[in-house]
Amino acid sequence: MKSLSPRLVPLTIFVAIYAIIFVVFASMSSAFIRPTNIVEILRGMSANGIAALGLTFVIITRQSDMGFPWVASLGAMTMGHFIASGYDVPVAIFMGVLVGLAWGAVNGIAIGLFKLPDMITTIATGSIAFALGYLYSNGDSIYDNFMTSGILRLNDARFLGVRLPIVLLAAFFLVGWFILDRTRFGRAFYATGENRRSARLSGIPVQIYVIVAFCLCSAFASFGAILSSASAGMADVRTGINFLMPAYVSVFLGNAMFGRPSAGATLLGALFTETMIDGFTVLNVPFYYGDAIESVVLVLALLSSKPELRDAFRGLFIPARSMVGGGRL
Amino acid sequence: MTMTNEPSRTRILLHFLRQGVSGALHAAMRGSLVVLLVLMCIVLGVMEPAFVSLANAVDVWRTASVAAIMYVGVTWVIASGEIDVCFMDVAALAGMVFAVVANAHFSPLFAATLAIVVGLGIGLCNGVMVGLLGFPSLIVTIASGTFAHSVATILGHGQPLYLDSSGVVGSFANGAVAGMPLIGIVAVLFYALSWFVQERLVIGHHVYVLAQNSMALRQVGVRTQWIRFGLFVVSGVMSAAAGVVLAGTLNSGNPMIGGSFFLDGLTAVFLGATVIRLGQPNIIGTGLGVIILAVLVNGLALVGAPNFAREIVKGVLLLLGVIVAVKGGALRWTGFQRLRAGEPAPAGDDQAKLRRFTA
Repeated sequence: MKSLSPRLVPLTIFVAIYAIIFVVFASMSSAFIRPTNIVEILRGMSANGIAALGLTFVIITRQSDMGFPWVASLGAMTMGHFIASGYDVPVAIFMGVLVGLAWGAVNGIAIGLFKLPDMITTIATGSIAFALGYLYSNGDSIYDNFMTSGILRLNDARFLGVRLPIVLLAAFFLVGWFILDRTRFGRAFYATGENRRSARLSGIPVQIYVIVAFCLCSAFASFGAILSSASAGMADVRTGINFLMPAYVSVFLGNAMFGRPSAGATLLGALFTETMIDGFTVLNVPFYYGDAIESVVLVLALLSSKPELRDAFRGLFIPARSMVGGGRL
Repeated sequence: MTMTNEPSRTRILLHFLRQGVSGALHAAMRGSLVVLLVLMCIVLGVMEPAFVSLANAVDVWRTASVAAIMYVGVTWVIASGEIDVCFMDVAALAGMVFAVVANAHFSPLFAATLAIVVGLGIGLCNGVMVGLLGFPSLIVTIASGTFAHSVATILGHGQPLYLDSSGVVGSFANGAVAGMPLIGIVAVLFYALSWFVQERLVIGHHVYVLAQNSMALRQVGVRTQWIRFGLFVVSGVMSAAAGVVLAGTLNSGNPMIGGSFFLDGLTAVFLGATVIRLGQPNIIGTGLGVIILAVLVNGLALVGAPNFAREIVKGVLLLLGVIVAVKGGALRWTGFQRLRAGEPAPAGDDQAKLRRFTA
């Protein structure tokens, strides 16, 4: 037993919890384990998961972004506006993501370069972005040209027999994992978050990395909102609003399981979150119950990542050892 | 990067220049909110004469009072270097609990007490998680806020809940003494008391030291974890009390009120951090911020501006408040002592200061 990594304990706990949740849902509704529903879980995961992947970069640099759900709404509205104005689908998607990227750059420069406090700044800029989303249509949903322009294919198309959102999700996480874990560029994000001063002295331009992290966060969230607009068949000013909780739960569940935020950890966290959301939908439970459960899970994830509490728990299984990077994140 | 023991002459000169700029900025800032408020009143009064009526002033006062009570705890939580993003959802939950219990034919006073106890409970949870266990306040309050919002929605099945009769609480929330709103008088008295606690009691000073150097505070024997704990409890209770009063004013509990109060609360606190104590949220500043926002919302509604314009103005005000509070304050904090000690430009220290807000 001693050779087991200390990371295995929280991981095992969460796999066990996931299995229990899965079995409970499956026993309550036979529709839950149908292959179509499993595909539906993965498809529903795409938007939230990609937004959570963006947030992962920000969390790795030990900052936080509260504004990305609002920026994502603006991104989706921008995309909708360009679709409604008759532009090509790639142009519209590009413009939506570009708006997110620009907003992220503003956040990043304000926080990385001008040292403004991250949370409040992102709340302020995010709320401005959200209000700007109303400008396109005075707050009405945009669905002109959605049926004819081909934007719906972003949700419906298949690539080698797999739904496109699932392919995109896999691609984003594969690239995210590769960059974060296998390149110098990605490791620098961890260095920036771990100890900014020593990262700087090692020649890492830490401010650039903070800016890039915020850019990725807003751009990914915008792309996620565009995906969910494509699935809803319209762009709404509130499209991205619901990203906040699932994204934070995904990242911090992953952090609790693996001891540090990473692309793989976020993917598992997102799978956990989406399974619960989907399970409640299948059981016809109103959506607002899901938030309560998610927040309880988030608190449990936090508690299980606390070394002192884990030590008490781990005493039952494995001798205590300190966790890699599992400090006060 | 040079690592000399003596700071260069240009650096000292530059430093005095920065001190001078920050001093001027500081002096200008002290009165800026009041000037802003007066200017806003004049402009709005010229654009819409109905704005300057006595009835409208009382209306603004009443609206501002409920918000002001809600933000007392938040002000101190942020002043201590933590963050609270669940206050508006706690208020929404308290309003819904009040509505549900009052509609179940319990006495309104009992319903109000129960609602405040619920707020106390959430405050206790936050306090234990952040203060005693040391978790980052952002994540903890995101979780508890979402939980509160979810439970509030469940209580009303996704709809606002209308009160059959709000009884004592309703007459308290809507009552008036000699033409002045009762709740407004209570809010002013409460702010006077809070100002006393903040400025004249040791505990108030500890809150500000906590933000500057919690380690030093701990080493002189103050149990910092209990201060953090207490601040979150106060925030929970005050938010819940405001939520109950709000339900009395609106004659209904609404699980969706969170959205607008969230941005307003943070804007009021950070606008307030630009006066009295530059860079530090404080009671008088928050009070001024609340009044400015109430005037703004009321005035823009009278003028007929669209809702999103109001949100943009609020977002810009919040951003300006943060920039002035942090930059004005930060310039003063990077002291001459550090330069004399021969340290390089304190990038790491800036980060440590910023980390107060993050983890």
